[in-house]
Amino acid sequence: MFRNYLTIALRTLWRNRLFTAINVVGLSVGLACVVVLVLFAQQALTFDGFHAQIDRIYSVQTQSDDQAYNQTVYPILDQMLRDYPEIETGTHVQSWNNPWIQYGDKYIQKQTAYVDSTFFRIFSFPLKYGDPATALRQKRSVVLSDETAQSLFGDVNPVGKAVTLDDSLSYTITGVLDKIPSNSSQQFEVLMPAANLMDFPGFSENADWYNGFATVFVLLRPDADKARLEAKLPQLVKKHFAPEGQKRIIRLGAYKEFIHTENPTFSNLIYGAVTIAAFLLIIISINLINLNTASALPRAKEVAMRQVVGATRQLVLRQFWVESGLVVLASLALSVLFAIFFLIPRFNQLRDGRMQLEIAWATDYPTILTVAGIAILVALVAGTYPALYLLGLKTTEAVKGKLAASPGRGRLRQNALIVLQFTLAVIFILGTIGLREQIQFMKQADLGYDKDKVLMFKTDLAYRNEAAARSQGQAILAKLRQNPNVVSFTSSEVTPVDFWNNFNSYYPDGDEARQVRIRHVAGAVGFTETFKIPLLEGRNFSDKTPADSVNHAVILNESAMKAFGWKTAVGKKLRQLNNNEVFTVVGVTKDYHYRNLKERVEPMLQWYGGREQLSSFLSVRLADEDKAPALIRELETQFGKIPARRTLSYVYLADEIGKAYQSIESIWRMVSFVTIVAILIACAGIFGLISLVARQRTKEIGVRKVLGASVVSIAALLSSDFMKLVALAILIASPLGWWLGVKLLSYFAYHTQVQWWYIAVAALLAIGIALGSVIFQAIRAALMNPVKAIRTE
Amino acid sequence: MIQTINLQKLFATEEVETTALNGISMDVKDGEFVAIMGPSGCGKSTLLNILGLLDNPTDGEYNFYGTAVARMTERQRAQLRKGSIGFVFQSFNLIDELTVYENVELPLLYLKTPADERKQRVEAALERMAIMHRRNHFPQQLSGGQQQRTAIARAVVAKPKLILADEPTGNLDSKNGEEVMKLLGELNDEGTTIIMVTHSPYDAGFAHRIVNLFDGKVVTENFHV
Repeated sequence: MFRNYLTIALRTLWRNRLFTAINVVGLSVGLACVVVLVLFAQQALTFDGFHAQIDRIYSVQTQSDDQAYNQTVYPILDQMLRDYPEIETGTHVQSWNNPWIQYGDKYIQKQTAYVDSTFFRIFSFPLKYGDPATALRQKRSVVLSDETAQSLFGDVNPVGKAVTLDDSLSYTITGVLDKIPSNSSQQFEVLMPAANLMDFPGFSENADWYNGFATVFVLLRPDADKARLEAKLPQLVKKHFAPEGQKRIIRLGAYKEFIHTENPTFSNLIYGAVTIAAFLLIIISINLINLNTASALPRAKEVAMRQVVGATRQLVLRQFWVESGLVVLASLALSVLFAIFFLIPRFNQLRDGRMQLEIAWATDYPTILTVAGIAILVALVAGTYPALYLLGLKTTEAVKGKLAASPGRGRLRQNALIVLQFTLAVIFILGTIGLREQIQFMKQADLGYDKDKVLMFKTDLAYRNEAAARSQGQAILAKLRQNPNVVSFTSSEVTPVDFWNNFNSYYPDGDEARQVRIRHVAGAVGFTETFKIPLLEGRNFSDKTPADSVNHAVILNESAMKAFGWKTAVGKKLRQLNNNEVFTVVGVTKDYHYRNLKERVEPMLQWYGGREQLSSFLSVRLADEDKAPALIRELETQFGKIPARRTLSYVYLADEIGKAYQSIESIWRMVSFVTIVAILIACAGIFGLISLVARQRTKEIGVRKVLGASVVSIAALLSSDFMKLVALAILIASPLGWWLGVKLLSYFAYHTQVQWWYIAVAALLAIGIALGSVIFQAIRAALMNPVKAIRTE
Repeated sequence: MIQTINLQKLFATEEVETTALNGISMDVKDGEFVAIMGPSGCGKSTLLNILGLLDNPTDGEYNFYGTAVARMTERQRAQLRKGSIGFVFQSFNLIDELTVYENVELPLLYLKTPADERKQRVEAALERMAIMHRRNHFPQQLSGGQQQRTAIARAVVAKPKLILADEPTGNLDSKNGEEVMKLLGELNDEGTTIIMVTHSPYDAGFAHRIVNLFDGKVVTENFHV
């Protein structure tokens, strides 16, 4: 019996091959997108979930205002381990510097984390080689990622081999990590024992009970009460923290939430993916139901005849289930192939290394089975609906082919579904336009400084001899001053593209109550001149005024001045909470964007970074951009003479600013892709429907032609019904899209406004695309020979 | 007047070629009422479609009120057809989605008749066919006779010179059939030329002349006095 169903199903699908093709293509592309989005959401939801003890791992956090951040003071871990028996163990995970690792003639520098020997007892990063219990016990040991080990040693087990770090000390390889899952908050290539940190003077000076830069994790005992432990922490602060840090609030943040504390917008990404997947599923299901029902209409006679010769309702239903089941299964298979070979590689490329997707049956089978389950459910509904509809007809009439007797049946539902489909499509289009405009807005926005004609050289080249490099650099800078194409330059540790996240509390000298937590970075001579940052008052740092180093000169931005409650600031004195220095304000800049436009400009302070010398960046304002190549060649030659591990690279400031929006642009690309898919599926749907409508209305078209109707009027008649629905969808989607657009844009601190033309463009696009997909069939129907039409009875 | 000379019509499918019309020459004068009779498959409907400018002959000449139309394009034929020919079908061919009134109005819409004149003429036609009281009903809500009266109202509303009727009583009972034939007779008395295909000798009795077709040829012509 099943074989009989299958044969008939295959024949029917082949007879309606246009609809079958539309159905299968639409379904498989749509399902592929759903598969990818669900995988992404699943990866995001199980972020860090591979750690077996994740429920007992906590990050030691500092509470500030209304948010907590995952940093604290360095010595707190040892003290907590001593004081609180409910803590089983703990580890630092500290980034400081990335040492150069040498083996033979191979030299590499990779992202390095300094951790304690207990690291592998807390986190479940599996080792490919080596013993997790002992790997980090010796101070002079190194654990490498698989990739790093491969690049240094090739395909052998390197445990026990010696490498040289930073050209001086010998370390032993004690372990090689397996691949770190892409949905892990911690990503590193090299692990080294935290004991090494104390050898860095810059570190040991700052690893006190005041500076909060340390990342610390603890593993609680299974029976430990986190709330009770947290309640004891204020005492620890009181007893051990530096006097200036006494107001700090220390908390324990569940490691499950770590990623959300690090990246507060992370959950938006998950909601976005799930919403889009749901929208797509709705559009796909609508297509399947509409196309199935419509293509079933001409089969009224067949179904009636089946009943006449003895088929029960059950048997008819099964026939339809087999048909839609075949379509859905074929689509599902195609969609998985499409996802693996097309979508996922592209998706990963767009994600640019962050949270890469891969389908592995062993780990992802629940996701795939879920999507398959949803698909089968959709198939059942899509098969049941038309069968029930046809079974509901009067057999005696259906046998005579009297289907036209009920032209209104199902029309309302069909229309409602089309409106819903296009409403979603228009909202997708609006989202795409809104996001694109926002990106353009951010790229072209007035940043408060002049981004054009500035070349930025990365001069942090890991020089082999720092002292020699410094003096050679001095000569390069002196020569640069003579270059007629150089308007001004600055050698600085930061550029306005991305200031550090480095904060401290300052207060006006003598008014300790007026503390302001402020971002502070190193300023440099020539900084405001080179970036053309307007000064409200005062001046930039200068080497000609020796007082700048003596007076601890600082420059504020306008927001910082206001935060201190000042109308003018030059000459005023500031103090830091944790030291005795008195800083003197020498200038106030207008507010400018020192990070990307997603973030608000907040109070910021630049301290005097010392006399002009080589630093991380050398930014040069050019008189004539066309002559840049000569300058680049000259600097490349000069820097080439300084022995270093890296070579000089450069970038135009304007391009570098554009890069800040790469991740949002990649989101835009994904949204555009899904929008196109959504539109295509919706269009395929109405394309299929109008073909059927044309077939159903053959007689009417014939009669109208006999009575003198022109081709144009008939094409218009057939398309207008659909266009009315599209118009209605636009009416519904416009206010909804407007509201969503305003919400979406408000996520950006500095954003463009939703414009009326977004809706105009989305509406025109929707109308144009819909018209494009119906007009062909409409004209074809209108060109038909009327003699044939009126015979169709 | 209309005149055909040696009309040929071949229908070719992949395997067989059927001669539907094989050299039909006939004249129909203005104001004449002609009945075309013959067994099923003799080519009656094919001839009617060609006379009605719905189809082209494969060969031969067709002169429609002074215009040679045999080799016109569909577009040109449609232009000529509009307003000058009314059709009545056996199966009525009303548009199910439109009311009685809207069905009758349709030819005038395509002729771009002004609204007030349209209303007046539609109402006159409905009045004339005694179907006015059903003006807002849909075709399925009518009896067969009422549907055919609506179809005739639609055929005459544009005041065509020629009415072509294809078995107009074929789907009607005798009482309704009689009524329809009387209406056609009245229209003919008022000067409309009528060509009617029929199986019914009774209906053919309303015509001035009967043309008998057999295997695509005219075999006899009988004249009523």
